[in-house]
Amino acid sequence: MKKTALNNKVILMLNELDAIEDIHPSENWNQSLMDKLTVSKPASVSIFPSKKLAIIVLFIVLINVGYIIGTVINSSKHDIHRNNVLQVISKEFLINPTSINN
Amino acid sequence: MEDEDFIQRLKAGDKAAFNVLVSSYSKKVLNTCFRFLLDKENAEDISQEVFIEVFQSIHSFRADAKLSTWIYRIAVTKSLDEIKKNNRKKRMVSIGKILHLDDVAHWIAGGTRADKSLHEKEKMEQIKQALNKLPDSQRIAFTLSKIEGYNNAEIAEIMNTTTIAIESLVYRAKKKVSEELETILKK
Repeated sequence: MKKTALNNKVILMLNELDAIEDIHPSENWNQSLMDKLTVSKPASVSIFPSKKLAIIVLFIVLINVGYIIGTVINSSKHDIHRNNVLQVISKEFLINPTSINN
Repeated sequence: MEDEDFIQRLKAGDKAAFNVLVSSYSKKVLNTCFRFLLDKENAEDISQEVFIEVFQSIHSFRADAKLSTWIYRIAVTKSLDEIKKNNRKKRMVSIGKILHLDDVAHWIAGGTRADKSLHEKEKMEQIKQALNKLPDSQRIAFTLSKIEGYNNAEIAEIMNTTTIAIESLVYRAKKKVSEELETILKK
């Protein structure tokens, strides 16, 4: 296609784009919108799904944190008890290294 | 329309106020969507989605922009999203055609044949193809500049930029569309 013919065709197409006329809503547009609106609710009324998900995740995290803290406290109590037992054993049964030297 | 009392009524869920809003903005919102999508049926659906979005998020509207600007911004965003969705659909149709799955391709495309003449349809497709090559900012500025009722100041407000930037975007968009149309017509 020759350059000028091509340019003319492009200009014609751009003019056509400019000449697109405004459209009017079809007869049932308004009614259909109102029907859709009655089904939907304002976002403030319904909790957004991602918000629900965030609450569930937060709940699971809190349970896990509680479990971990509980385990740590229990294990430290157990450790203290074991240390006490070992101290008693060492006092009663083990020979003091300084006494051997003497 | 822009006053605080009217906005408060909308936020309170006043149905009458919302009806006033719809009747005031429906034509411009519909034509904004139509200019982006170049398809009446699609534009009608998307313009309804715009008002549903307005209804659902009016409580989050802050008066740092005009109500009309906020509504047109939603219209532009929804239209661009729809264009992207349609382009994805078209890619699927092309894949279907390559694989000779004509029935599947026809079904993905919407299942109906437009009643426009083939030539008209083809021409519109070529214009859409050229417009699809534009970056979003150029496409928004260029398309809005073609709609009666939008001046550069209003487009600048919608795009959150200056009028000088809009002039430059429209100029570059027009140049790029011409180049793209040339390339398409050469094929």
